[in-house]
Amino acid sequence: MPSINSSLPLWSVLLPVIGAVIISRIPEKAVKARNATALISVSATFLVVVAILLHLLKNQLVEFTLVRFMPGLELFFRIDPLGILFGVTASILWIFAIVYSTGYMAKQPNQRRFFLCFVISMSATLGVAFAGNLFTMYIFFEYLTLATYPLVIHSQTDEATRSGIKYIAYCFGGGGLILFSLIILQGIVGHVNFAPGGILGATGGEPRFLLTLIFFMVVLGFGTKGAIMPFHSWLPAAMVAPAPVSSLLHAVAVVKSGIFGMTRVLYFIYGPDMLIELNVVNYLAIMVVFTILVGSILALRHTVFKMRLAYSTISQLGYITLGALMLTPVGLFGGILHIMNHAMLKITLFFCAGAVIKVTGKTDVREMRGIGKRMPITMIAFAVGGLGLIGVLPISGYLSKFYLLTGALDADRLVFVAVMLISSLLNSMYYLPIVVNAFFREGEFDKPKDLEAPLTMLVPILLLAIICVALGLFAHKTTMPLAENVVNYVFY
Amino acid sequence: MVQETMNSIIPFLMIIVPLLSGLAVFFTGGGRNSHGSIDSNKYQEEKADDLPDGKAVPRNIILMVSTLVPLGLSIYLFPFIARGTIIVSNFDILPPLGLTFRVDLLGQYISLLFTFFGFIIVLYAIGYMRGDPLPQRFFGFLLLVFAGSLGVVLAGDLFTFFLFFEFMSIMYFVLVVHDATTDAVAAGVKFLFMTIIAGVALFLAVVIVFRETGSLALDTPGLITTYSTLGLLAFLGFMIAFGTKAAMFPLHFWMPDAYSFAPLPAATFSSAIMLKVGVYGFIRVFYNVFGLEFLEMVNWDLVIMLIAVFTILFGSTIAIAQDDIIRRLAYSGIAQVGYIILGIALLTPNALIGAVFHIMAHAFMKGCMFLCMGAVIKNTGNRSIRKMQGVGHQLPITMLAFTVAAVTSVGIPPFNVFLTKWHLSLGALDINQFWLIIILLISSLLNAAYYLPISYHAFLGLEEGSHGESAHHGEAGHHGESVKKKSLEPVPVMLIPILILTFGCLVFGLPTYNWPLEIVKTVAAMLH
Repeated sequence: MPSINSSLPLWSVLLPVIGAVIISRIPEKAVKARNATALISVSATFLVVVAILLHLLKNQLVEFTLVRFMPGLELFFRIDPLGILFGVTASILWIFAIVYSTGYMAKQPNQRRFFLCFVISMSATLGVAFAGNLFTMYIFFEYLTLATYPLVIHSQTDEATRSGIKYIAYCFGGGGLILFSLIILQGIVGHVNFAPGGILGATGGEPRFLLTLIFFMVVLGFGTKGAIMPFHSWLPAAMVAPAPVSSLLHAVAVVKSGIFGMTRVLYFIYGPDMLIELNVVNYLAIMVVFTILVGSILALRHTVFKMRLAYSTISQLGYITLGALMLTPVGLFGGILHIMNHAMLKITLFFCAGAVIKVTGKTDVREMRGIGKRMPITMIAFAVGGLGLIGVLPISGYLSKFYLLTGALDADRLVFVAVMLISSLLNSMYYLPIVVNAFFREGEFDKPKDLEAPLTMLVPILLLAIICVALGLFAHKTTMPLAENVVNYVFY
Repeated sequence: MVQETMNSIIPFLMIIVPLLSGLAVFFTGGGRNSHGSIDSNKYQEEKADDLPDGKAVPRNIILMVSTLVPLGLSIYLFPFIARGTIIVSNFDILPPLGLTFRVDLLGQYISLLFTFFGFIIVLYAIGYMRGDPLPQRFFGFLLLVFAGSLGVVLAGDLFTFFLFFEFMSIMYFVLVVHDATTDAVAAGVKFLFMTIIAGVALFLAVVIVFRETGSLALDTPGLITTYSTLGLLAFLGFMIAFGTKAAMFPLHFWMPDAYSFAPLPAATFSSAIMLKVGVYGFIRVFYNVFGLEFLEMVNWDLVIMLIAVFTILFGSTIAIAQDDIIRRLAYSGIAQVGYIILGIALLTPNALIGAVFHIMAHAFMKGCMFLCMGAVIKNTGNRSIRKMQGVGHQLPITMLAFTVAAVTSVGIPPFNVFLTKWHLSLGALDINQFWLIIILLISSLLNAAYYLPISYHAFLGLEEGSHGESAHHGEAGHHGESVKKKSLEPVPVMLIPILILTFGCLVFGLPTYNWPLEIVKTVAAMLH
């Protein structure tokens, strides 16, 4: 693919930072000015991402070199179909999340800090998405941890502080593994630029031991952020954060940048051929299968609403990794589709959970009986999200499952098929009772009716639920071409 | 055979009209009812209609229009399809395969039945649901389920089929739990999980068929033509999915609960229409996905045949032990669907005629019984068969209709089920399975054993198992006399559907005037 030089990537990373700086100058009490600034900076960034997307749709890669430290080591953006897919998904959701946050955070203390960090973490996420080499990705990866840490400990309770320490420890631990691998890969190859098909072809798989070791280190480094078991426990802990943070960062941006990084390593550093040569995929697949099943089972056991969603996220992220690990076009296609579909569905679910928590103060699903009569729109949106993740047509989730299953059959891996089907059933066991109890059982509430969340929260929820259905019905005009571009770019 | 195809939007219209009307119905009437606690009385029969007339009337108009329009469209399509034309239409949504509709004679026959019964049941429900606290929810979802069931039979490929199949099932869940009692919710959850299991199984089967053949279209006599483990897996997936919907043993257990706790029109809808969707799936899988030659080669049909036989005997036997009338009807329904599946699994033209004919015959016969018993339950508040002494004096027309339907179900000429059993027997003879005829006879006797006493006691008012105790007898007789004066016959809007169905039980059994049988024969010829 031809590439063009453009400063657009720089702007996409810079605009949120500028927005954050402005927010830092706005006094705590000027709520409207701050909300407007946050929304404008995020929307402007989104427009930049769209501009990049237009280049990509014309089959042009967008490149930009920021700093060159030495030959082969530079801060360098190169936006390929995979990067733009993640960038577009994240930046659309950022707009929804900012609108939702203005409702959720209303009358809460420390809003300035919250919005500042929330906007600035968009910059970090886009940096991860648009990075052209492992070094740049690593820098933004750590930056993302730093930017989101204040959001995790936002409530400043003891629990939040403890969770914050766990969050930092896990994420920096993973980052350390990546840094170590980065240095060694730099030593072996001379550069760490991402290239479809991998950059290790010239080494011929030698030194074998080192390459294998580094593979596991780097993949687990990213896997920690992608919440692969047994490195997942930071994610449930991070659920102490306010709901918009859990919805966007811990269901989409942070965890998916982990999965995204892993995909980069699998397909752009090592490459499918090298992975088959090194014969390392199966070990990883075992971990992922374990993650999917145990994640679902733990989701079933947890009754705290956000925890259930967190474990469900862990399990669903496993789907994406599984798709990537199949090393076949169809499998990758399914995995990539699921990046987008899961993002939309899970953020809907989290937004609904946040609305319920905000309006009723109840955090346990067992206390939510009868909530559907008070918050019908929210709970219908929740039902859409839940059914979508189970894989019911025509909500978008079915499509990723369709391709993941086809990919698993193609790769002759009936184990994967069984795991996905079992997980679907488990999904239904932990989502549907919430919906059923919400609408068809009686609960006790302080206020008898009309508890629906404020419009700033309700509108994003409703729009996202509609998008989830639309992405199922019109996927061939929206998500599928994007994912197809990625697969073509990687495999052909 | 070269088939002429005709591109038409009509199948889509048949689905979208009830679908949109269903959504519109939510916005009619009642508003949000602030009934703080759910009444423990699940029948709510004595409640006054809390809807102002001004709101019930527009809803009823929508309901009538949205069921009559598909019926009219189906009748309109009939001459085209009868000439051998296939109606198709494609829509560029729902990747990867698009939304396609394809109506051949089988689909047309079933859609005609569905639209007819949809109309009848909705008409009846307007009377039955009077006084319900949330009629707009019930009717809204009833129309959505109706749209889903039509979508299934009009679907042109397995993916579209799957879409509507899931949609119908999930929407039906709301009907099951409509009364929101603890039992209803438990039954609903059971139904919902069976739906999800069926959905997952069907999904796997669809994915396998697509991967193995690259196509999901339902226009060929067999997509899968070679044996493979995956093929077997797909077959199992289909059988689990459709077996659940059609309440085939051992996947039947959601059904008696769902029927007895759902509002009665919903149970009727399931019996007359939704079970048939599962059966329709069986036919499509046997004739379009796997194909006759293939199934004859691998003999998977034999397993289904044995399960069907077991289902017949099991359903009939359990039905006798039920005292709750709805549960008795439900178990009897399990047995009846066993006939249809047996007819499909025998893979002979005659048996298929029996099966496809029974789809209609059973809908008339069982639908009629459900509607009659709905009238009895609503107007007397009694579901126990033992307590239905002398009810025939209170609701003479209803119980007479019930008796006709009961006699029909036994399979005596000239009632329509006779033709089913006749053709099933012919089909069994075609492949030299004499013992199946004995099974059919046993089942007929069991049918008689569990239905006819109901009619008998209803009119003669004898206490069941009273052993002729005179005191007891006198009391029962006295009771019978006291209620004799007061007629509890249902309102016309409920009675008319009952009478129409009763008429159907009779008229389609007379051999000289039997166009459904002619259609069915053509269908069987087309599929073989």
